Amino acid sequence: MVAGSETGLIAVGAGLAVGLSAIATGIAEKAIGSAAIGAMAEKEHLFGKGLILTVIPETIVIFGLVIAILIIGLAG
Amino acid sequence: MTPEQMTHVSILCPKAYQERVIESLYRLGAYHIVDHKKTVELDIAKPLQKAEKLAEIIVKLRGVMSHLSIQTAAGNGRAAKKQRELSDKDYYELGKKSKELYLDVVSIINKNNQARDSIKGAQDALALAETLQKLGVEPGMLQQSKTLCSFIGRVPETANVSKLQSVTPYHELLRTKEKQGHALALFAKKEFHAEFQSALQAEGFQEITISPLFFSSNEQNGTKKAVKSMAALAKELRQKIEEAGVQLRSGEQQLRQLREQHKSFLITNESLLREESKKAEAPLRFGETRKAFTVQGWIPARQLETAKKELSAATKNTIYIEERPPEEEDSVPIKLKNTLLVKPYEFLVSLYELPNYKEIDPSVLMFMTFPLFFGFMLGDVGYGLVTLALFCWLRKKLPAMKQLLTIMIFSSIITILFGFAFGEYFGFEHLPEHSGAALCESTGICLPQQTILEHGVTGIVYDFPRLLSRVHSHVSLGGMNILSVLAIGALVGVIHLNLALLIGVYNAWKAHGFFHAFLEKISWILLQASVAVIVLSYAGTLALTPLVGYAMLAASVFLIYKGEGIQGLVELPAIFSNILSYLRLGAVGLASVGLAVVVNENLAIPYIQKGGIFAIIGIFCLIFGHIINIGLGVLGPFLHSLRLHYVEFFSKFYKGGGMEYAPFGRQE
Repeated sequence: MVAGSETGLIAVGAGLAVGLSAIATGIAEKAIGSAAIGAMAEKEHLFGKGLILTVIPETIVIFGLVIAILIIGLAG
Repeated sequence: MTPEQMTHVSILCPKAYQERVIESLYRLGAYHIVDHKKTVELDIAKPLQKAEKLAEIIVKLRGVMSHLSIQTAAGNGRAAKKQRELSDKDYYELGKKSKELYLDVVSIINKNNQARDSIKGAQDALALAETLQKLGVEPGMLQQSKTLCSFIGRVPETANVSKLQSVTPYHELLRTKEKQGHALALFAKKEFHAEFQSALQAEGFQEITISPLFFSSNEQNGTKKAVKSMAALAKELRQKIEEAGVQLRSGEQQLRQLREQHKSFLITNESLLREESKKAEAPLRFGETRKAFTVQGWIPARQLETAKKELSAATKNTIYIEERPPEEEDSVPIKLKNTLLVKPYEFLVSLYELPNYKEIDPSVLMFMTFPLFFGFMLGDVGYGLVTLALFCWLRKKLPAMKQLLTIMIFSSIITILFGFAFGEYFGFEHLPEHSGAALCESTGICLPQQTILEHGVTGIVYDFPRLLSRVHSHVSLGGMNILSVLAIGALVGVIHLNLALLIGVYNAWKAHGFFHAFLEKISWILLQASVAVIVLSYAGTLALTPLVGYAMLAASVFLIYKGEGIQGLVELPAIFSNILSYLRLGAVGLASVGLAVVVNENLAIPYIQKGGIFAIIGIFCLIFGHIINIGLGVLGPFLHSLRLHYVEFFSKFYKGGGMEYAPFGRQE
């Protein structure tokens, strides 16, 4: 267990890890998602592929979340 | 595990038997026709004679159905199942009846539209007549005059009409207040027309056209009837609206009657004829010479003998059938064959891509792991029960989504099982002291007591039994305290990916031989092993010098380069990021638990403890929060589980690109 203000900093760090990686995911998915919708409008059966391609950057935020959980682990 | 065996079948037959061949292929419902492409020797065959007639009747039937808003039977419908041969007389009668029906419906609809138009026109005229009546303008005053000009229209409320005095005092102004602004009528000598017009326009005057007023008298009688007064005109118009309304209602009633009367006739015959016209147009996929025609296609090997027997019987042995197994360059239609339990997962595979003919069909692999991943991520008894009920209900409501919902029902059951393993019930991991004690006294189920420290306060709670706590259980890895679920996620990743690589070995072995498989797939397994050896020997767990590991690493990198070239080298780190990607199995679940805990402990319970009106707010928070969390909890695990299969798992062995098997015949 660490002292109060340090716990606060740890919490801020965890928040940043999730928040920033979520923004990054959002930016990446924005472009893919709009392209996928465009492709789907042309060929409906591309739904599966479009979905997959759109969720690929999801990994970024998952890593962010994992890091956040590890950081919170520091706080004990 | 592999798609259904197919045989390529070419048929050559005299044209005289064309219709019979089509009929027996249709009844067989197993022959996947490959469209003929026009060549110098073989032209594309012409549709059967009846095709045109059929199309004509179908258009009529569909026209009637769309006017009466009747849905066509999906697929074949029950109706087409009791199909019978249609004679020429049947077609003649069907054609006659559908034409009559079509004309009836169209004439009623035209009459209805006329009635609607006349109601609309009369309503406009009535509104105008009422305005004029209020103004005090009578029909006589609207007639063309040699000396007078008239302005009828509206001005906004702010308009200052006294300015008109300055043009000439010799005019007649009639005004009446309306909802917005005023209606006015102005009569003056013709020579002041221009002046009045500009003066009025300056005040925002908008003219009303009075032509709709004569809508009724003009149209019907051809000559303009002299109308005595505005009041009489208004009365006449009201009567007209009423009459047209009665007519419209009776027309609509007639349509409803026709709908009831002919609904089943229409649906049955539309689907019947749709199937017939499919047969009639089948020759467009054939090749023909002057006297004979030929068809190419695929048939499941099991059904080959039956098909041959039937075709020979139908053509009195004048048919030539050539069969051969699929060759390397063929694109074979893919029919997946799986047991009843695995069948729904074909949907997930086809959503991605069908396997090619030589590949393992991954449906059964998805059947084994998809619900497990989903359940591991959601893992809550309460949520599992809710989603189970929801998906069971939806499955009844939406038969079209049956496959997907069957998967989800199965996944929900696994969720409940994992919920018990994690000891989570709507995000609650333990019961508060008093409810735990009450449960123990009333039912005899005594949960183990535990002392916990929460928000700086120690308290006794009754813990639910569990195998593993997702939030609290840690394992120590190389001196780091890591949440067990994350470690399990990574472990599952290693197993799942190596399973994929082993399947890849099998596929590559079958397609290109063992050496190829070794270079392309086993090298990746070796790469993982070498990294593990390096890490373990540094950690001291393995009594080896790390050099052994480095040697293995160099060997595997060389093999990957030989197998996949530069691209393989570029993708070297991908295998590890793929494994780390499986951490989401734990992380998504933790996020879901986190949200549930926030809803329960930080939001709802403090409110409920305050009592009174706050308790109601607390319960509302509880319901609303868990609905959101269940929504996210279905969407997230579903997509993540799907993605782990499509992106991480499939990329190690799956090529796909199969063409769907679509046999000629009735749609199933």
